[in-house]
Amino acid sequence: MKLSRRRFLTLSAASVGAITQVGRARAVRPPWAVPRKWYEGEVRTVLSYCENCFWKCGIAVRVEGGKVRKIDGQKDNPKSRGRLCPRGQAGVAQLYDPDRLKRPLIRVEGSERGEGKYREASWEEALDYVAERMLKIKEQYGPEAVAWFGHGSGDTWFVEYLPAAWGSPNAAKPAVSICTAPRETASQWTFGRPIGGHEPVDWTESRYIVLIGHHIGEDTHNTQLQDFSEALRRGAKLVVVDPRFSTAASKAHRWLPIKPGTDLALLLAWIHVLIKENLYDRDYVQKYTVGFEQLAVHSNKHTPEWAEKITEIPAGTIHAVAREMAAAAPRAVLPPGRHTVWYGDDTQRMRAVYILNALLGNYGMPGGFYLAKPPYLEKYPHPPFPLEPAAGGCSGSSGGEEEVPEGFKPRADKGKFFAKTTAIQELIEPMITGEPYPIRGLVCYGTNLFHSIPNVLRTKEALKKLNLYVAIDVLPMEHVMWADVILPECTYLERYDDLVAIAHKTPFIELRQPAVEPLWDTKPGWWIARELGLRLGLEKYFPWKNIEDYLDTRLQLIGSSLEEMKQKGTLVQRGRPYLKGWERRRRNPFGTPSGKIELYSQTFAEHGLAPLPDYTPPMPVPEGFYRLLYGRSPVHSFAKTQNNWVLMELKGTNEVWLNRAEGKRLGLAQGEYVWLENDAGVREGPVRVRLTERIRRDCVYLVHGFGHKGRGLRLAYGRGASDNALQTRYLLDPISGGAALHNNFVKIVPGAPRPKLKRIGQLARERRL
Amino acid sequence: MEWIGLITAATFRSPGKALEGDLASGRLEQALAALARSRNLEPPHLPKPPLSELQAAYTHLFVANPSGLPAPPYAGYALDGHLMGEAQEALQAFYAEHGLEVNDAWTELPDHLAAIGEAIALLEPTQPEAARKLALGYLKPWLDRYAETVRAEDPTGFYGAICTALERVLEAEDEAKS
Repeated sequence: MKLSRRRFLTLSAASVGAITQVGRARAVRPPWAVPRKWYEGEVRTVLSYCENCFWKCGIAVRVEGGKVRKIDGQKDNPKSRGRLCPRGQAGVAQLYDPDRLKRPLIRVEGSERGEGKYREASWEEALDYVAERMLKIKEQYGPEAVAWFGHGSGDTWFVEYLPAAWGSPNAAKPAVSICTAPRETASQWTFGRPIGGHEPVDWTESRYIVLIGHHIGEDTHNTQLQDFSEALRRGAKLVVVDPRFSTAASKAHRWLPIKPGTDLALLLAWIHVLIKENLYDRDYVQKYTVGFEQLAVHSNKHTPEWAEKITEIPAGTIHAVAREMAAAAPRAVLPPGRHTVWYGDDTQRMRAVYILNALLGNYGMPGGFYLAKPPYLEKYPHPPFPLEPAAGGCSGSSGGEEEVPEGFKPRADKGKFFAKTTAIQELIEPMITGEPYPIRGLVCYGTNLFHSIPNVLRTKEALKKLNLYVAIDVLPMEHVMWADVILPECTYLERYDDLVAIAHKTPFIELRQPAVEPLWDTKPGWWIARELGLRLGLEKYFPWKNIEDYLDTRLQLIGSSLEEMKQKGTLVQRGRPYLKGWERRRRNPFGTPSGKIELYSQTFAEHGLAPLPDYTPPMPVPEGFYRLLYGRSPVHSFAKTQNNWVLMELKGTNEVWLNRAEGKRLGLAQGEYVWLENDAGVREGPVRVRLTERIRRDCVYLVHGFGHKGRGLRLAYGRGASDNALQTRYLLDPISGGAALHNNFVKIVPGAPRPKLKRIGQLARERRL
Repeated sequence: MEWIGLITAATFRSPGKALEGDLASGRLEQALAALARSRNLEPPHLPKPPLSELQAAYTHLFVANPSGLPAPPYAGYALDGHLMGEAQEALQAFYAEHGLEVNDAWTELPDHLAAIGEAIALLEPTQPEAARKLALGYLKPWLDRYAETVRAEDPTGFYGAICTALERVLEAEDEAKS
């Protein structure tokens, strides 16, 4: 048979449809020579907000020639004030990361989960595949048998909107029970207000700041760090309580190297001193609080001398700090940390932090906590969902009884703890055991299952048992490559998301809008949620046809419009940050049962929980082991940014911090590679050892987010050690549902080989990323 | 040069019914043989795996791979070492200068091998010198960089054979030019 070029073209190649001939050619010249600076072209600025941590800074994205060239901070945005951290600026490298997921994938039939064998699929096929299997699960087990996990701004579609419409209460975010749950629950039941995503600390007005396990400067949040620096510039005194000499400790006037797990004893001793020495703000306490009498009696036993034996902080220092804070009050503040799931009594510890602040009379006062008010923003007027969204969040409801509508089941973790929000780690067990009822499906949006939920082996076992596992993500993280169906989301620079409403001193709304078209066949989360919703028979909850329609409706309801927001990026409203403003309007900010700050919680007492915080010792460290502590790097967020070459050039791995004397005792050399092995026998590494006097002898420290095992992330793979892999144990906080992770112990195993990896700088220079 | 473009476009796009048809009918193998003979080369042997295996291999090589993508199918990536770099920018300018435009419906990058193949095929009849520059300036560097990897990683042997065939033809072309 003679080959016909035309026929061949017609049948196959022509239908590629990539290129069209549109005009006459000009002169031929070498195709690779285009010498031009991008900023000499026509630069368009798109206002949006960042996704490289949860601070959600307003960004100004510079676009030229259809490409994002640079990202700056939005000048009029309260979260950035024209500045951006390295992560924000490095967003360009994420957008153009060649390792990104590019099109929907379906696991090859007959292959195992985790084997990583996939074939491409169209969106229609992939979504039909997911919907068909979800409906089967619903028919057999009920809607609650599908769990929904989400992390990041786009998670609203997958842990709130869609699960609530679908009818599953098993929707959860790691940002709750593996992070903020204790501080939020404690705040709700002490102040009757959330802390929220942007901690309402009046940094710049404060004159005395006490950080407890709060690694500001390492867990960097743009304006928080700006304000903190400004406070120090204005002369604020700083006390840092930390077993490790952190970056913040290096700026402190006092560093209190506390014995890990004893923070509550220190807080109780400070409460004791303030009360016994009559240093508390009597007028404030009388006017705004209840339960002082019970607290005063309760605190009799918590003397500094008692606390010294527990905390290893001298009683004299405890006295001195209490007196110093009282002298600066109400411009003295103990800010809440963010990641507060430590030892299992965490809600009580956070209650003690808040009680101490209340005794200083600083809540709702300049230099203490301001009263963050959410901006005015209406919900989209869709028909009521059958269930209320259950995942919670930084400012979500975290207390009270859950009401289950007829025909629906309560959360699978109900009864394990007091708070109303869902605990993500408690939804793993039902996938394995089927108790209290089976969870057979999982939709996982942006949640790194193997770098956030403790006991990775258990999570893998659970994934193997599911009928359906769907991953929606940007990068081929290890857990993503276990999914039955992978739905590739476009990055935050290529999509709209729902509006973000930030409770703040000056409440504001931010818009995310695409700076460029999505690369490859990736789609925004809202589109995926809607298309899936339509296939699941949930049309009535999606009366909007596209996101512009949805956003414009919400904005029109408050007298703005999508067009206006596209121009402004941020809509700032007026706040009411201090108590005097509320009182002038005869409004009460305290949403507690008593309408006051509850030093003593009657509700807790009624539910069999301690109404006042008391000290419980942490799990003891086994002989030969160290307590594993962990924290952040200012240039990385969670385990999300370790494939970004710009950030990896700044910090390409983690190290295990070990006290120098311990290192000497073990015969270790600075920079030597070691294994870390926990008391359950799980080994992690190799990781370099950093011998330092900056940490106590009873603990070691790792920066979180490293130790990626998925080779699909070519930069992140194999660099450093994962703290999460070593966290095979957690204690459940019975109040908040938080998974307390400081209860894992590791020993150092010398003799690990140096990993055979090219240096990041070398890879960058070779331009072979 | 037109056949180089056509074969590249047909084989580096996501495999579907069209490729299955070209393989089953023998048209693709005949095209490769004709192309080889035109440069005085031996006709290559082309494995004919079932479509499902081709799809899995294509995904494994060019789309997503838990062990890291062995051969990102972007010519600019082979030249620059990163996506959306200068080589890709230059390519877009080259397309424009030669009356070509990337279709809106094309969900891949402009320097994807299938797009380059199509561009070569479209240019050859009227602008053969431009087609040649595209093949030697973009397709060949990609093959230089990734053909060996594709041969090592391709479980079907199909993509390895295509890379080998294209490599030989382009080498011959290059030699003829010099």
